[in-house]
Amino acid sequence: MAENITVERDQQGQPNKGKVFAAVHAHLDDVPYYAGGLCAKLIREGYTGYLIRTSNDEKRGGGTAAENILSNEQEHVKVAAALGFADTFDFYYQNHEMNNISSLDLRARLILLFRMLKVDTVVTFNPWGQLEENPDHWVTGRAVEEACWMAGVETDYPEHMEAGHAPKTVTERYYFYARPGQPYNRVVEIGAHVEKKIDSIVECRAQGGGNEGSLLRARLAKQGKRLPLLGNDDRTADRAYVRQFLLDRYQEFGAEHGLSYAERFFYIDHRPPAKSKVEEYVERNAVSL
Amino acid sequence: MERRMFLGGGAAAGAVMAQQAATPAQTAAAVRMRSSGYSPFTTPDYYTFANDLTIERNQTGKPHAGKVLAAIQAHSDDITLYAGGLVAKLIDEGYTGYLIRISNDEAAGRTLGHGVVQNEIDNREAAKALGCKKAYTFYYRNHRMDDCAEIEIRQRLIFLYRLLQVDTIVTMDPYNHYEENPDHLVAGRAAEAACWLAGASKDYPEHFKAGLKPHSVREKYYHARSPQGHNLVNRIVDISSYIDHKVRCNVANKGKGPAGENGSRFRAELARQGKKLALLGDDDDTANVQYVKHFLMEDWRLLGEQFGLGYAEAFRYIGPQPDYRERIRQYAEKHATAL
Repeated sequence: MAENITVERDQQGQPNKGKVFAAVHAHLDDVPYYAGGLCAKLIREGYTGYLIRTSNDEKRGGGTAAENILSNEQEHVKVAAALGFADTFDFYYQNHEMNNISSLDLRARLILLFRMLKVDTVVTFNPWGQLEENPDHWVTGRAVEEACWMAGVETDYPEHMEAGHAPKTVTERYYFYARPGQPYNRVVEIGAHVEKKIDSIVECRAQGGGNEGSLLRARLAKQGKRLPLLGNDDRTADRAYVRQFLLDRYQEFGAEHGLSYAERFFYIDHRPPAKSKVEEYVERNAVSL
Repeated sequence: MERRMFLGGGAAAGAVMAQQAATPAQTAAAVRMRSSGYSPFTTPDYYTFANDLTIERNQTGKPHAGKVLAAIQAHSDDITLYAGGLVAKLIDEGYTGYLIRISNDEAAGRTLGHGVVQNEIDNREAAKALGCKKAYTFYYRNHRMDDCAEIEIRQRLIFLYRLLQVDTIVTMDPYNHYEENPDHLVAGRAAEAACWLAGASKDYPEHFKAGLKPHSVREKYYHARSPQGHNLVNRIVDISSYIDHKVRCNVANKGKGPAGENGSRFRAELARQGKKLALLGDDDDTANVQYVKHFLMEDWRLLGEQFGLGYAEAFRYIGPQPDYRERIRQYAEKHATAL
């Protein structure tokens, strides 16, 4: 854990209006769990958000690989809608095998998207996060990190400019706290957005436990039992299940700072200062000829 | 050993000039090509001629107006040496042409830095000499392209094919036998694969949100490299009217290859020995042009001679695929009966 933790609280109004962020995840349920609250918060504060999924999620869903690709694809659109994203993109690289793809191919696609969408901020995996077992996560994180600055370099993929997409550097990054032990320096208050986070998690049915509530309710009914917590319909059961059983860690992250719910991030701010050091020096020291 | 010509100038040339399918007996595998010996970078040692070999002649007017051509080369002198006549011809017949170079050509030059700069200039100048609207360069490292991610090169070509709405490509045959230069094979494979993928709506769909449209490349001209890269040839292109364009684009290649300023250098060398060659004229530009035309174009003249042409280039041409659905509809129209 970093020594100096910044708590990012809700901001009034829409201070981020006109800004764009891209949440880039490998799998359907990554953003909902690691950053669903942050994404809902940024969008509420004026950001336009885009959700980018890099894998095809074929290994998760309980069906054949083909059926899993379809169900995850459909649920990805629902997750985006639940959090308020303006659009989704899916790259469909093979799930769990992304360490065998060309990272340049992935990076080039992200560079085009960052330029095209004029992305200011990314939310994604920490490419240097420890204890990361899933190669899709770090491959995605590294490609995003590299694309952030290269998107601003006019000599990388100059053909993009000919298509009308100017260089655009991504200046702010929120890296997920995906595994215990990974670094973080920012705790984001998501109490006001936890309902949207739950909305997004319940759409993760192919993976992520979004339908565990309704499944439990049905199982209990077969045994002649019911849990009042799960209510009288599947939607209520799913939401209640997520709230009761799947958000513990986010409550714990918040409790450390007196918040109801929070998400952790490693935040990097590369926004240039209003005036450069040279400009400041000139302002202070320049004399008339 | 005496070079044996399977495809003699008379009978075989007559058959293909009439655009008739040659018989298998006339299309012996691996025809040894005549060579002037003036340059290794001309026609290859062997061609294999298809039994439907045709000659593409000049067309009057602008029959290709509205169509777009991309000439794709690994190095600044590939298209100019092997397909400069064809590219100039197609542009003259109405195509809008673009020249795309994949490598940075760093392996030719006094230093790497000088090499890449000179070859960058040459690529632009060669494009101008051919009549291309623009030249692109991807700058992958020369002679090391087998270490590149081919899929990334392909992605960039798909982007350009869609952006420029390319109908036809001219490039190195990705199936050239005995190819020593990895850049050629990588460039050819990426260019080929991008042709149909550029028309597929599920490949890189983000391009469409970026304002591009799917667009399949429907025609391909593949050229061989020399001396060892023989390929299957089904089209001989008459470049007699464009030999001066071909000469000029090769003279533009100063940074590498057998052309560039070798004529003026040779003229100066002879002068130092107290000699002159009349064909090299009295100034450097004349010397450069005449050197290329007389020596480096000689094998293209020999190739043309076999087909009754002044100069020729040879290609594996792949044309538009027939519309199978239309064929089925035609069948139905002919054979369908009332219910």
